[in-house]
Amino acid sequence: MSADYLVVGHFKFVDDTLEAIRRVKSQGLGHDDLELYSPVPNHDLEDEVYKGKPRSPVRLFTLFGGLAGLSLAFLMTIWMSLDYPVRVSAKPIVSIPAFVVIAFECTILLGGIFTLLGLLHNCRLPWIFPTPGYRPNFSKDTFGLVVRVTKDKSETIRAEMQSCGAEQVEVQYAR
Amino acid sequence: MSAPETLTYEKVDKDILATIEPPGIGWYLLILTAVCVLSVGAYAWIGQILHGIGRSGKNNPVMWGFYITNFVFWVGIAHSGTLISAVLFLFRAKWRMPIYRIAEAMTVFAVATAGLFPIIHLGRPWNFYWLLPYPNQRYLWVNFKSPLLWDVFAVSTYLTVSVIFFSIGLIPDIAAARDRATGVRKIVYSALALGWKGSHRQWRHYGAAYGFFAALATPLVLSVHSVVSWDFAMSNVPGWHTTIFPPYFVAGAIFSGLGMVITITIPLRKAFKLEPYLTTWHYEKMAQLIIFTSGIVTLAYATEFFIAWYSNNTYERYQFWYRAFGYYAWAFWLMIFCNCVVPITFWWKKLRTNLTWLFICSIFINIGMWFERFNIIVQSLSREYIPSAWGNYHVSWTDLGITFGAFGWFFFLLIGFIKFFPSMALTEIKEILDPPVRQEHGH
Repeated sequence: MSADYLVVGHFKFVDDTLEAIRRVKSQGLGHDDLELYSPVPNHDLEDEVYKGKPRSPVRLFTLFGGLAGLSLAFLMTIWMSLDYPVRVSAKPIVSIPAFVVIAFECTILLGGIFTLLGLLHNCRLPWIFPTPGYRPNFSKDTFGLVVRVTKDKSETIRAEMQSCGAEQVEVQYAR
Repeated sequence: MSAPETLTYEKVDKDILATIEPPGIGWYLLILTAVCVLSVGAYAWIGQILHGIGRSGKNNPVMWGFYITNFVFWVGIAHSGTLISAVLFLFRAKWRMPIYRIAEAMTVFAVATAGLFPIIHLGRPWNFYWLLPYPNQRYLWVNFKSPLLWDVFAVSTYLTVSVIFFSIGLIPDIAAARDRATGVRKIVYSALALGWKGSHRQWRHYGAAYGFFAALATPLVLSVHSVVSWDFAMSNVPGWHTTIFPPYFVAGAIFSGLGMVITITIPLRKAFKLEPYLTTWHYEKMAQLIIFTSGIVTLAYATEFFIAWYSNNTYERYQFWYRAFGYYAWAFWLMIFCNCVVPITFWWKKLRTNLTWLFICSIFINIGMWFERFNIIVQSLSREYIPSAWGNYHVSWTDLGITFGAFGWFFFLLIGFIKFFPSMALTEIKEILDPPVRQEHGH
């Protein structure tokens, strides 16, 4: 049977949400089956959901962008200085100390742009499709735990959430 | 110390999103005033384009006057915003939370204002794109060894990174506004929020990206104003050619920006009733940072004078004597009073926690820092090496009009911003509250 149902739990308190995550996971459900919405990032909740997940890959985008900016800037300044040399009283045509300034700025520029791209790519933004399970109060003052389950498991998960102190639990079809 | 304990996520949400309710007559009057002031500048600039750069006061030998003063002033203002939002984030300073959003907005709009001046001060502003290294039919490239070119890259990078950093910080707050809005606002906020939902996966990447942005923006605070200072320091003009300029300019930038943050936030706090979020404790922290940066600036002035004397260089010695006792001595002593004397009052706790006094002093600081740049530029150029080449600067109405108009442009952007986007970081203020825990609520 395919996991076509979503159980959406609304929680007002962090400790209730933590307990609910533990109980949901104890039912054999993994990280990929649940989504936690919160108005603010909370490290305790994230640690409970993730348990051993690697660090965000955004840092690789930043590194790539920074290195690209550095190398492209030196490439640009050196090549352009040789292509159109401004001859001033035996001063070097390729003046690395001066080009360091441009390279530094371009490192930050491309590092920043690629960090943005990394963020958008990993967060799947912009997302124009409806997100089943998301509720507007999850950006206000409510934590939302959305679990994707099969129909026969939905009642069990619903009962677990309610026993953890959920303000409201909804069961809906995922699609 | 965090926000007062009676605050809940719901109350914070309600209070801060109330600031972006449809505006009343007061806001319309403010924005109309800003548009009028901006129009004065636009009129002056159009006149200058049509009739030539001779409309401005700059001439031989003072070939940089008000426009470059304004350029450096506005870039300096911007730096404090980045310091508060990025550098203090890395130091985990909690007092930045209520002010960093408006400080970042100040950064973006100040850089947008500053970026106009290198174009305004050109004799042929329609050729401004020649500063960029694009392939052209004359087969030439730009001179990468020039500090003016470094400025192009530095200020463009600063504008781009500041806008991106600002936008990223806004995304969760716009999502909160989206979820509470109706009608056209909902459509606009939905588009701007990019579909952000605040899932644990998104927060993880967001936290990482935000940290990297803060780490990238931090060296920008140091490098951009250093590059701007090299516009002067890389020349051999007496009073300009000194290695103290980069740290002197950076400290001065933070000092002036803090003044502007205080000028902006005190009325904003009153108008939007945000007193529970922005307390006298926050202003005290800003005042302490002002004492520190004012101290550095005062030391820099003293160092310049000392080194000019110690160097035994005739031209350097004369330049600094002239600064204090010459034609523009009034501007010099005004600068000393505003930047060195006025901040001394912040040593007294009663004064540094008095918001009226802080507001008055912030105006003095803004004036003092504008005059610092005026003194550096105009005084040094008016008395260079050869006495027969000496000359004074004659301010024109166009100079004044464009300077005035730039303030109008800046405040037009800022007043527009505060009505359509949360001027306090909604999500981060919620983050510094104690998370809601059931045991404490006795259920």
